[in-house]
Amino acid sequence: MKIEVVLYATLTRYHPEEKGNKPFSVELPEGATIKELIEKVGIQEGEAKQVFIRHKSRRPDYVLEDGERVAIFPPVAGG
Amino acid sequence: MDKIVRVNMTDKKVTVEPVPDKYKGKGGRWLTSLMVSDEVPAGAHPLGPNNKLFFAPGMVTGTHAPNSGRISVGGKSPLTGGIKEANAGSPFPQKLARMGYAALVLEGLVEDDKRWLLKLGLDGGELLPADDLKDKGTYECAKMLWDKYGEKTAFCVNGPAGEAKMAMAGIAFNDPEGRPARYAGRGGLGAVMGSKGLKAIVLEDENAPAVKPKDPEMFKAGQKKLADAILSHDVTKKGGALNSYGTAVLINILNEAGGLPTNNFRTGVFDGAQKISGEALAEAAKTRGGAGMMGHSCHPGCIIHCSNVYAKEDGSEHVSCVEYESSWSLGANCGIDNLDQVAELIRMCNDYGVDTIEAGVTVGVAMEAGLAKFGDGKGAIELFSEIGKRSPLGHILGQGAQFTGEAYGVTRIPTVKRQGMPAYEPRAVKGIGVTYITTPMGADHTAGYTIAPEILSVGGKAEPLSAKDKIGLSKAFQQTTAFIDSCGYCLFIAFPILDIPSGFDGVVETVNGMLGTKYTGDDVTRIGDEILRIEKDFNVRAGVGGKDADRPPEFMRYEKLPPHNHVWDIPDEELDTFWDK
Ligand code: SF4
Repeated sequence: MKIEVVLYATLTRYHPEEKGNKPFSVELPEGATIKELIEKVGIQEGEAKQVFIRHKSRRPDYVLEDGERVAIFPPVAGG
Repeated sequence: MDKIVRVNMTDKKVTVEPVPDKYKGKGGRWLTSLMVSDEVPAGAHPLGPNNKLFFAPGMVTGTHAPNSGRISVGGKSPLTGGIKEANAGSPFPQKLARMGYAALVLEGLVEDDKRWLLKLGLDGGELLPADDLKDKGTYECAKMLWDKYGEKTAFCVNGPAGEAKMAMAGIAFNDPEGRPARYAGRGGLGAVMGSKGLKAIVLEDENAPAVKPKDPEMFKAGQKKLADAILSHDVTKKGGALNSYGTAVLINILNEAGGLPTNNFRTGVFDGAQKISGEALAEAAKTRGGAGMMGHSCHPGCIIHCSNVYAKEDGSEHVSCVEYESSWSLGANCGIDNLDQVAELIRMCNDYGVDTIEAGVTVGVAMEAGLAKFGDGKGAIELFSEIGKRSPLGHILGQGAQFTGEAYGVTRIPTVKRQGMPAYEPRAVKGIGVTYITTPMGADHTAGYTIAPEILSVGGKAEPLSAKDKIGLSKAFQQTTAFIDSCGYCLFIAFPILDIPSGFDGVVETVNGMLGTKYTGDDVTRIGDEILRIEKDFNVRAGVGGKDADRPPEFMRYEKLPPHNHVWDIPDEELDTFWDK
């Protein structure tokens, strides 16, 4: 299945074509989880703090569905 | 810090007195709120002779404790009609503390239309005629002040909006390079300064002694614990999010969470979010070069460096600083996705001397009224320039979002206690809504930043859309914040100290080391609570503290906010329990 990925802030350095916030797609087997997606993108353990799908924060064991758009953030804060 | 300086604008007298016992060992918000409560009659007109303006550095300001250069400004707010504390980071409070001043009090009223400048030295100060600064923008004033008094001085200055007594006027403090860019922004305190005819304060601190902690060893140990926590936490360390992208790093995450108020709080998602985000700022700093930079700091001793300088296409400086709140208020909230236009609006705010949050919320409401189109940056700039022109429309806008909405018959006015809401949608992030509604300050995110657990997973985790358990969450944050605001610490130390217990201990130890007190973690909550109740009590006496005042804007109860399609659903009865012991 195909997953659309958007990386933010310091994670943009993992973009396969160094294109910052530009979405890119990742091919994964059916039933793959967020954790597996993060591994596939090559983000180091512990660097991805928050993952949003359809405007909700999702846990690493969330099972992805074909065509979903996944936004991945490192630890961020501000005010 | 054993002196208080009183500046009486009626008879132009400047007097220095010792700090009375009651105020000893207090600083920042604790001191300003206590003094407002003691000295300002609750029924006073905010712009009349009986209101006063209080400036107080924090309890550890002026020391080498990291990120401790903040000043609190307090008074009765022309915007909310209640008590107000607004704080800013700048070299100004560091110098004021080293000069030995625990507080500066501005009182009385000028009878004529003249402008004055306070020149303050170690042994007192004098009021000098300053008609040469009259009605001038803050940038021009800043340059004139440093040209005349030297680049070693610190200053604060009031813009033309404050002189015109507009309720969105803030007070600008200098950054290390002399920009009038660090604002005690919220609640219209610039108008109070304007009503008193004071245009600027200059601090001549030559030969000021170092601030000496009572227990230097304890202080040092605390300082180290706090610094270690800041430098090791993922969001505040070097190369971390705040340092690399500034506070606007939040634009994308709030957008992904569906909580970025867009087009005057019509929806929680903005299509142009990425274009006005921290990532876009960092990219511009890199590609445009020149004056642009990330990792700027608002005062010496900050070890986070969340500030920035934004450059024009040709590399020349446009404005400092593009904050999350400003990029949101004048960007997403007005549907504007052009960073250059947003930067120009921020520059105009700084030059006129107004709060960027109130400004953006007001433009959003004005767009709702049809005065410009959502997304039309040029139109927004043109509309906003009315404030600079002081046209009748400018005077309406200058009074803020609530007033503007009322003038044009708008029902979607996102305010609490007449103050514009900041950059988090309460229908999508309920805890921050409780903070907006219950804080004595009027809608203010900094009063109790529940975004940390609700969105950022810092200091625990809470479900943003849930209405459950949000009163206690907000209350705990508000109590701790009131204490941090009294220390003079930048609120961003909250992120590391929420997650790293030794960092929190460090904060308490620096205060104890400084003052010789024996405060514990419990005292932080107790003192914070005491401060909140002083403020609430003032508001009750002023007529803006009753239950009716602690309510959300009505449209949020019946208008569902996309994409989550939630309304505000925390019952009023629950809100009313906030002040129960
Ligand atoms: S982190 Fe930002 S706001 Fe805080 S002291 Fe540093 S530059 Fe100022």
